Amino acid sequence: MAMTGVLRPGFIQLRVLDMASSLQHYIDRIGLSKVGEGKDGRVYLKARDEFDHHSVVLRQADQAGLDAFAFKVESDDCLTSYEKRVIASGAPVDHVPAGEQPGLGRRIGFQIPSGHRIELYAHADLAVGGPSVLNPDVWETEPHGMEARRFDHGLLYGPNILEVEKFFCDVLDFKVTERVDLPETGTLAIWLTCSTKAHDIAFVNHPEPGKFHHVAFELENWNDIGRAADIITRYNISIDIGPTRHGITRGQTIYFFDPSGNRCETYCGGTTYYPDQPVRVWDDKELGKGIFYYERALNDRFLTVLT
Amino acid sequence: MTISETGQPVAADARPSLSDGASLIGSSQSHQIAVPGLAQSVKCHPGASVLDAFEHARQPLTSGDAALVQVGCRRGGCGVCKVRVIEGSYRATPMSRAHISEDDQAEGLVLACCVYPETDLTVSSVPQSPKNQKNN
Repeated sequence: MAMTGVLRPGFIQLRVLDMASSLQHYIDRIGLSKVGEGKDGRVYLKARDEFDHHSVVLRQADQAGLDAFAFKVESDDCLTSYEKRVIASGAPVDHVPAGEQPGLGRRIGFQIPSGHRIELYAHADLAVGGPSVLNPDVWETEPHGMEARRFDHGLLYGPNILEVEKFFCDVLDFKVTERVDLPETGTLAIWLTCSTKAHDIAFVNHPEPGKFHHVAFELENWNDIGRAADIITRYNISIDIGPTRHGITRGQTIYFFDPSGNRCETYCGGTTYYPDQPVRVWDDKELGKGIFYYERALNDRFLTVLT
Repeated sequence: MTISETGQPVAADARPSLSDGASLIGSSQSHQIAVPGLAQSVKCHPGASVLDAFEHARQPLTSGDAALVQVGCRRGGCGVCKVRVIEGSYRATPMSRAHISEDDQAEGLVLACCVYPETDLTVSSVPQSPKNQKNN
């Protein structure tokens, strides 16, 4: 399979209540690096095994939550083509000029039926001091904190989940890998991929638009998840649940909160997706196992606590 | 590769820093938190928030069948641990304005996870109304 069109989650822009403690969380604890700071105060971060300029943007604000979730597409022609398709689907598109974020080319932005802002862009400068390419070592500088390798995926909460599904599949060429369909209330959640990952973005149906559930960072393996748990306890980071495993995606995980209450995940493993595979479906009989495979029960906090 | 400018290690994950640079939020003494309807007050250790005290109380604190205060993100973002401070003084760390407006805060409506007692406090729970649920 050639991977075309939308390539991967490119960056996420989050609102934080206090920049200093947020930088300590994302840099010292999760293991990201600071790339730079804009004149408007936004701070740009990247994970250690990412080639592109940045993947996380923090903006200080008086409310926590998500500003935008952006995907990188394979070329500028491709970006133009997606713009036409988004407009044809009925969503107004706005344009963000190159350089509005350092290192990034032009972006297009639009609102999806769940109330979230999605952006697409084709160009990112290569990071200075990013992973080497000639006889590359596993890392150039030894990793720190939880040693996150990359920004992996996000989970967003909002209404109109079937419209969101249709938009991502018909307009942006994503595939649904797994879903939760409840007999009485219909689709509760969908996991969507634009790659061979178990998910690149996921949605839960929820009455209030534009809500943020979590941003996930990929770790190498289950041992690293255990070490991340040590860091979470050592520094009194607010824990949600884990270490545990998901039935859905089969990823191994911990959920915890940043100093503004935005939920973070450290994630590893997970299934590999190919577009000829059937969709895995979960119903109300085994939903607990689907979400938390070891606990076999959902906790209230996971379903209701959002920013 | 740049490591945080904030320096490390520190004793605990830093809560939102206060402008005066206080290293310990709240006072260095423990305080009692009284809740109307509860027979016993709850001990709040130095440096702990009201939510910390409720979450780690020896007995589960309930109001009817529900928990007295729901524990959410513990960091001022999600808004589920709303309480009203009836009496006493405290310091507060930043709370999401999506859940606590400046007027709310002026009236003592706060998020328990962001309130650090400086004296003994009297605090009442704020039941999750449909509106609050919606705002979760």
